[in-house]
Amino acid sequence: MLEFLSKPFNVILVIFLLGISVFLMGKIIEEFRLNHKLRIKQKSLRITSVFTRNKRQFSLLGAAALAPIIIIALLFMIDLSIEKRNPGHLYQISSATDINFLRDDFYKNTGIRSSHNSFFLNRSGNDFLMEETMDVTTSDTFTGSGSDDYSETNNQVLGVDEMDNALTDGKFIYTISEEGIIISLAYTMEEGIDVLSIAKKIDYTTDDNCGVQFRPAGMYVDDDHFVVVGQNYDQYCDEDSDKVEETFGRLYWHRPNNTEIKVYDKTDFSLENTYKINGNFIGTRKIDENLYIVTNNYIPYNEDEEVNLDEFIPYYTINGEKTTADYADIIHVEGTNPNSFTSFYAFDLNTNEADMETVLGDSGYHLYVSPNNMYLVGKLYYYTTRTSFLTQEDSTINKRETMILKMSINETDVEYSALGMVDGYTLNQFSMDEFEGNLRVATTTGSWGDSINNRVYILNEKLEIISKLENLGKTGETIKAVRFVGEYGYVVTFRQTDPFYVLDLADPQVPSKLGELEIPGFSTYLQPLGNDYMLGIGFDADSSGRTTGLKISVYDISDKAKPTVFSEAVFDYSEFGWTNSSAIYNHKDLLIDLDKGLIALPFVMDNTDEILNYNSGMLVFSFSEASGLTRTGFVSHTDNDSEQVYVYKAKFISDYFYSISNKYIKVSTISDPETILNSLLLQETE
Amino acid sequence: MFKLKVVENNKRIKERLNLVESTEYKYVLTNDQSKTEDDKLNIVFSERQITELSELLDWIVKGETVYITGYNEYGTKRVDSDNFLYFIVEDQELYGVLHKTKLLIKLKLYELDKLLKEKPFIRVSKYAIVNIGKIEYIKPALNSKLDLLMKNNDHIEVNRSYLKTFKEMLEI
Repeated sequence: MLEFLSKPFNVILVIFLLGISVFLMGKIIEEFRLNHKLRIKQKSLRITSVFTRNKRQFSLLGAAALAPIIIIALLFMIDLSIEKRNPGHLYQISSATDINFLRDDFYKNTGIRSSHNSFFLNRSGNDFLMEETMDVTTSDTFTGSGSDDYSETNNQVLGVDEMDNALTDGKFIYTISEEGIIISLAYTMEEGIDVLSIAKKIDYTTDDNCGVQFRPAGMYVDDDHFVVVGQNYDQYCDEDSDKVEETFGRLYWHRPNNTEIKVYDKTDFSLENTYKINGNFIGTRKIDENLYIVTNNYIPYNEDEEVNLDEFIPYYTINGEKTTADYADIIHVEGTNPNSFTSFYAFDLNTNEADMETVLGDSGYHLYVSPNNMYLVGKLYYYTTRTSFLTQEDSTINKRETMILKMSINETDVEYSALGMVDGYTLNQFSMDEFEGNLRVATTTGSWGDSINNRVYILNEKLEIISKLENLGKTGETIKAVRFVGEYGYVVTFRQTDPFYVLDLADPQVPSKLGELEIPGFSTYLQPLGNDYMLGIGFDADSSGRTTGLKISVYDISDKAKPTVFSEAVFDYSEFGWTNSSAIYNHKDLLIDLDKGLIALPFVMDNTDEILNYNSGMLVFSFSEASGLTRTGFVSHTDNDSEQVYVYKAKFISDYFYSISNKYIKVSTISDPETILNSLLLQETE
Repeated sequence: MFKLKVVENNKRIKERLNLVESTEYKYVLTNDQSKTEDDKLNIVFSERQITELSELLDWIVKGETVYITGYNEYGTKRVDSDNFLYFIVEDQELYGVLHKTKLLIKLKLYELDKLLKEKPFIRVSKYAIVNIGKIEYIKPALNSKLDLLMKNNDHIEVNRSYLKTFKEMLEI
């Protein structure tokens, strides 16, 4: 060292280099200080930034110190990172003119066409014309008390109620019929199941066949309210004959651009309140007395003619009193496709207090709601232009992205929180889960072969990506089922065999694959049975990946690193004909109660050898840690072979098992479901 | 501009209000009547009113919306000034640059400067006025100028003679 410094040239060189270093360090400190001040200044100016960029800035020292090769490598990395999300910031909207301007700007500059999806096309003139009639058939007994021990809707999130087409509150069973709603008295503490009878029918049909008719989509019930969510449909009429035209054996309706909520008093089922919204129904949840509704209003775009936005602006009415969204309150994130208004509504069922938040941008379809936030996800499937860092040429890339819109909810307050993007598409509402403020999202990119990539992302509160697990499953496998439970995630992928993965998500920074189990077939729905078991409903398959029957599996997940099959029941096509269950795609059709060891699901056998020899019923199992799954019965409602009676739901009240079809409610006991003790005819089938 | 005086949950309330406090303040925000200061403007709120208060603060800071009228090939547009990234003179014409487009503004730069004096815009050269909220990153150049990377990836230079006012602007 000393020898090195003994030469004057070397000393000058060292001093020169030190001088440069000090100068560059000074610049870096200044750079850091200036940008820190800028952030604080921007915050003090109350400028909302939705996204922080992924793009990292070069520091001067870094730039000076890096060899050209490393610089080139970095340029490549930057070029890749440009492909990543570059979403904009909140756009300030003050009036309809602003919206028309930004729509013009967006469509003309991006070349993206506003998607003319007929699914969302708005039509005018169907604005809630319906007069409701209520037909009280019998109302003999509203006395007597129900049981506290009854089955609730099989919700994804504890405390966040999902609407369903059959409900019980321990006393009544609520079902949807062709005409409206049937409320059946099912059980009282005093008289047990002998009381089974129709208590009230609510009829929504109108005398005028060509008028507008309210069709229930689902219901909620709690101690104080009975809520029906539905839509008003224009019935299609033949102009000459004034009669409803039958298409494919069913009445043909136009898809409605409205959502209506009817709130009934629990004491006598009288109509208390009516909420109406002028949007396509996307989803709903209920938390305690607060009802949440998500709707969408598609806005047509025509570059030659300015759209009158007042026709499409979201509004709601409470018992006829109208509130319209204020243009100044509409949220728009720059860079998103301004093709529709997506509105999030909250109604307090007790006080009729309401709130709405409207976002101008791409809409979504999978709704996931935690106790504090609503997440709506949708695909982005348009092309965007990007500039290559190296070639400076514009190129188009096909984005396969999922956009996540997050709203924070606090009783009746709904507020825009964040917008995030991840690669790939989600499967269903179970693809998302909130845990300790972070959102976990499972997605699949690509459709076949090597291009497929299954990922699990962990996003922070602002929906920025914290970490991700990639390439779950083998080549060509796509995600078939997802369930997140606390610190763990469970993912099923499939092409030929079913790898069931256990993911350790306890540390959001470093998610990892913990365990793996490979079995034939695959599950399409997973539900935890306590801490140690996971129920999987899906299909069995042969070595080529062809499904061979319906399969109900229980995985033992007590050792997360080594999941095993604990118990399973297979209904092979060769023995039962084509078998299926709506629980494959609708978790609410599944009845599970761990305390009672009860699992029940709708089951259809269709023997294709004979015409229309299909048999529908409720398949009932008992589950215990000692003996696993045991089939306890199959409850069918069919009286004769020519009749189509579809058993779609099962409920329990106390020790009684109620199976519900489009024709009957039948009661038996949970321990012996096949022996029918009482039966109620809801309506005659054709 | 603001001073927050609350007993509990100070950090959480500050976060929810998206508040930046300053040493020289004009407004006192408190949930305790006794903490008000005589020579200041006092806002007493309860935790339930945070959303409303946040809107009020927005209004205090941002003030009235200023609209700028501009032209492009599709006609006349009236745009909220907050949406412009910067204004720049090119070939003796003034342009307002938005995220994906730019509008011809039929004003002189000094007229615009006057129009935007209550708004978070700053003059950075003889040719440009920049929206402070739309600056993504500041990079000091070797020649003691500053290079501003805007949200749309455009670069704007802060000229040496405007450097001092620019740095002063960053102080709150």
